[in-house]
Amino acid sequence: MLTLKNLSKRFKSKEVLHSINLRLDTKVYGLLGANGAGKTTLMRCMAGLYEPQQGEILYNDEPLHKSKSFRQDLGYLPQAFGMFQELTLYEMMDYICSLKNIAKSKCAFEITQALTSVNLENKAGDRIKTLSGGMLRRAGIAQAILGGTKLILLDEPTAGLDPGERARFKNAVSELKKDRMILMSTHIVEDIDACCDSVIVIDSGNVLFYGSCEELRNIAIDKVYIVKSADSDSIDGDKFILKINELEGEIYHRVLARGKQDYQSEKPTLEDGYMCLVKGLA
Amino acid sequence: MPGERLGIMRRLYLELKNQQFYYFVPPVVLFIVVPLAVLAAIKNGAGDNFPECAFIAQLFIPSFAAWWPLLTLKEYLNSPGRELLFVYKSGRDSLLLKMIFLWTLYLLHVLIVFIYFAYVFDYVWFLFIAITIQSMFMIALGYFLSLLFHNTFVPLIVNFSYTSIFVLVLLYSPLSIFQIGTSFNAGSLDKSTFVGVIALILFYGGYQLEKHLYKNSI
Repeated sequence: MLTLKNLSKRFKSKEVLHSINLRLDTKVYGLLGANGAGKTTLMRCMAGLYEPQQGEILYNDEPLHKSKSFRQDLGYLPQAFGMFQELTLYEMMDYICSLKNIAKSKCAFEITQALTSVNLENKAGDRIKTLSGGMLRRAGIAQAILGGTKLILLDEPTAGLDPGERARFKNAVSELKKDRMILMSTHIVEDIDACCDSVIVIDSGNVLFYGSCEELRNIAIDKVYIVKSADSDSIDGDKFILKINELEGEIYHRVLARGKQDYQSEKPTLEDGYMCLVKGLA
Repeated sequence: MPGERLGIMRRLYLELKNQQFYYFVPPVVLFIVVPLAVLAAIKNGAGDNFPECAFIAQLFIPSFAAWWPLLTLKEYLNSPGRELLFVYKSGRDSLLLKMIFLWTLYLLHVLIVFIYFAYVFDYVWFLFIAITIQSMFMIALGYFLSLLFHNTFVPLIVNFSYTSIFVLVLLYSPLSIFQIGTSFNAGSLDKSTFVGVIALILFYGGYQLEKHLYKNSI
């Protein structure tokens, strides 16, 4: 559906993306990476906002700028969302409908359906400036799915949300995933675990990993140990302390280590797999 | 195409609605401030009051021409989520087109003021043409500077400063687009032609900046 071939993007002398090759189908993908890894630049290239210096992006085997269906199929949620503060949510959706060239006769139905799918139907008459951060993010999803979009790009959709709002957001994504390609960039591994089928890990503009959540988790098999803080130094080779917890007055470290250790290894999480990758312990 | 044109009008309506009470600033200036100032000039003056009228019209009307365009551009340049607007908008739906629509809308308002002037003075239509072109220049300048600085506050300040300086202080400077103290006839439109050409160059420059606004910058 969406194919990236040898994609590179540079800002002046700084190369932000290096020869990225990806093929994305109708699934939910998580784009994981630290701040500054190149996630937003990659999303903006995919949305057609940036022109890459090298390589190309194809939508259904056609270059983005030549594809007639790309603009109609695209739903995009940028990191910052909340323009037209003085309009009501319904009017803002109407504006987006008009931008997406959705027929006027279908707009009311499309808007109602989109707002209902993110539980904001009772906020349609409220001004944008009165919505909470979580509501704005859900409104962002609602505008992204207007017009039956097939390709949805969500850039850091859960950043700054409280746990309740994050849960509602993830539920909304789960309900929308049927027959759509959704790419969600984040640096919160939990969000990927909760709603994505596949993961793409990028670091310094390079794709480090592309596969299923299970495959990413498996990278950390036999590399995760929970040891008392005093024993942490006894772990051989390269290691990384992922978490420090206190349990019954004792401090424990969750340690990622490259080689087999004298401790019982733990079942890895997605975060373990991700950290093993980015810390060079894979 | 007709649907698309209607879409542009619908979006413009929503953009103007989003301006709330700020939308009413130009109509208040055009329909209350300018006529009252002209009336005051007529009452206080003796003989031909048309130069006073031309002075007042050039002081207020061109400077407020850029008001709606700059507030509309603000959403595209300064608001959270502005990149979304650039992702969805098609090639035909340029900001330049919005500027031209808003200039036309403003001129319709100005026309009403000039219909009133036409009852009071003779030969107002040459002044109308001059003000039409001055208004276009102000919008073009605002559009160009907004895209150059990615900001709408600087152009707003430049706009009002330029008008204040060249209408109130440097009346006869060659850098002025205004025609203070001259009679308005077909011959006096030479300067307007030149101002119109500059405005078109600014629109062209602004459009080039608009096309590359997101393509190569964060």
